[in-house]
Amino acid sequence: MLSRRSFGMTAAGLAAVSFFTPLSLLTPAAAADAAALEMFIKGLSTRAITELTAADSDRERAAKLLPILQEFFDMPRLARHTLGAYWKRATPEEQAEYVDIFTQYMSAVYGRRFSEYSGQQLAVQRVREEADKATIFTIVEGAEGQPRVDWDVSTADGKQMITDVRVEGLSLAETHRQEFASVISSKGGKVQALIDILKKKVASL
Amino acid sequence: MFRFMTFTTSIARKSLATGLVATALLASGCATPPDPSDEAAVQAFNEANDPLEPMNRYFFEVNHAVDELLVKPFAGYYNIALPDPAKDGVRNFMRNLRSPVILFNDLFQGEGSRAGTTAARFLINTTLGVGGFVDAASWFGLNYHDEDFGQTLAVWGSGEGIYLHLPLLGPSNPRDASGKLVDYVLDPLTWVGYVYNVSWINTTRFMVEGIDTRARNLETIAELQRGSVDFYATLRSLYRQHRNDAIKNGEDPEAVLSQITNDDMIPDDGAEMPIILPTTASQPPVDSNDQLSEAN
Repeated sequence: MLSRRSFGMTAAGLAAVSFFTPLSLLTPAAAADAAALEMFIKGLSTRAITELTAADSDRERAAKLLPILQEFFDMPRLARHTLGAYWKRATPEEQAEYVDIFTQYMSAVYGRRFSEYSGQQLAVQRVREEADKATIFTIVEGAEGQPRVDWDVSTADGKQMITDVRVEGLSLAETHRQEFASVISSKGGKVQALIDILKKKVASL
Repeated sequence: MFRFMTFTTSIARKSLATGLVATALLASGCATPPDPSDEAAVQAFNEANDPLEPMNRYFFEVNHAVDELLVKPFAGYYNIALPDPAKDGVRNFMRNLRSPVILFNDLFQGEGSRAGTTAARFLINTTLGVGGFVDAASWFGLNYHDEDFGQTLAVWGSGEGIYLHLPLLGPSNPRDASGKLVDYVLDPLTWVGYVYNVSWINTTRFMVEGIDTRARNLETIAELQRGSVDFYATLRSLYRQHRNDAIKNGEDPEAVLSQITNDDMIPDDGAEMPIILPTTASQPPVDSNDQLSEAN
């Protein structure tokens, strides 16, 4: 509650500053970027909540999340990251197949979590920017303990793409990378083995 | 989380048995290092830092069985039996009991203002909060935070050491396991238990803490387990990340591992990704950065 209020005040403050200060004294580009990034995350959350809560089954939720992931997340890059050093070992066909199955896996695993949705909202706390990279710090209001969720966003050609999400410091990209590295190394370093396991998992979810 | 189990003798006997099996496993159960010429495998092996993996996986299975048979059902009943405000009361009470240990560790870490918060919370919650059942301090903006000696050791510069999955205790490492021991000794309640011969209060406390924590995470853990393709490795990764986050008190996101590896491992090619290797393969050796990628 406090955070929403302070966020509101920050926004009001920003608006006031931009109204009363000559433009030359500001860095309008940066301010605009922060606002755009905030809009971007709000857009993602609104869209995911509207579409996924309307779905009736986990399968449907997965199907609806997939295009959202592809629009908001840099899935090829995330996929590549989660394969770590094994990426270079995979054949081009395996790489393409992996990006595809990884996207499906993400949709299946995270789509079903929306069945528990009960009105939680993302509240943006602050935005940190460095060149073409940014992190949007949010909290989930209405969830127990108001967990922190940080979104790493990379901007290329004016289009924002999420490259990682951290919930209370737990990174999506890192967790899956370490999990997958364990699977691959237990299967004698074969990327294809992971692809097969992910396919089975997606079918079972 | 599962410490209360040791209370019942049958389980104690069982854990003695698992201990013996463990010794046998330890003798034969070290992880085999990968072929040194296999760079990716060596990298994965070093990063996992889990030379006792076979033994750890064994305890992981044992803990999983204990959880399925006892802890999870118990936590389920607890969830049904107690309404949310009552559960919050239980957790508030448990957290208040931990205040002395948290205070010690705040001080050890030189966190003056956090120590002040902990002390004030203890005073307010013990009195105004009716013996700790109500988190009255949070009304004044004095919010709960955790600290333990494992974190203190980290702040003092100790590394975490190899990964351990302990029987009944779950994910750990030498630093955090010895930290737990120190916390136990630091805790006034431990001594109350010894001196007045009422050590059952500590056993009950571990039991209630374990059940409460498990009950709050039933759905989260179930989903994690369902979605994971190697739950042991997922837990290992999550435990480390969680501890690193706790050590930094949830701050300093700039130093978070993923950003470091993001930058090191992935060339900045934006949304475009060189999936077609044959064309890039003919070019001179690409990113030399990649060899440093797992240096952390």
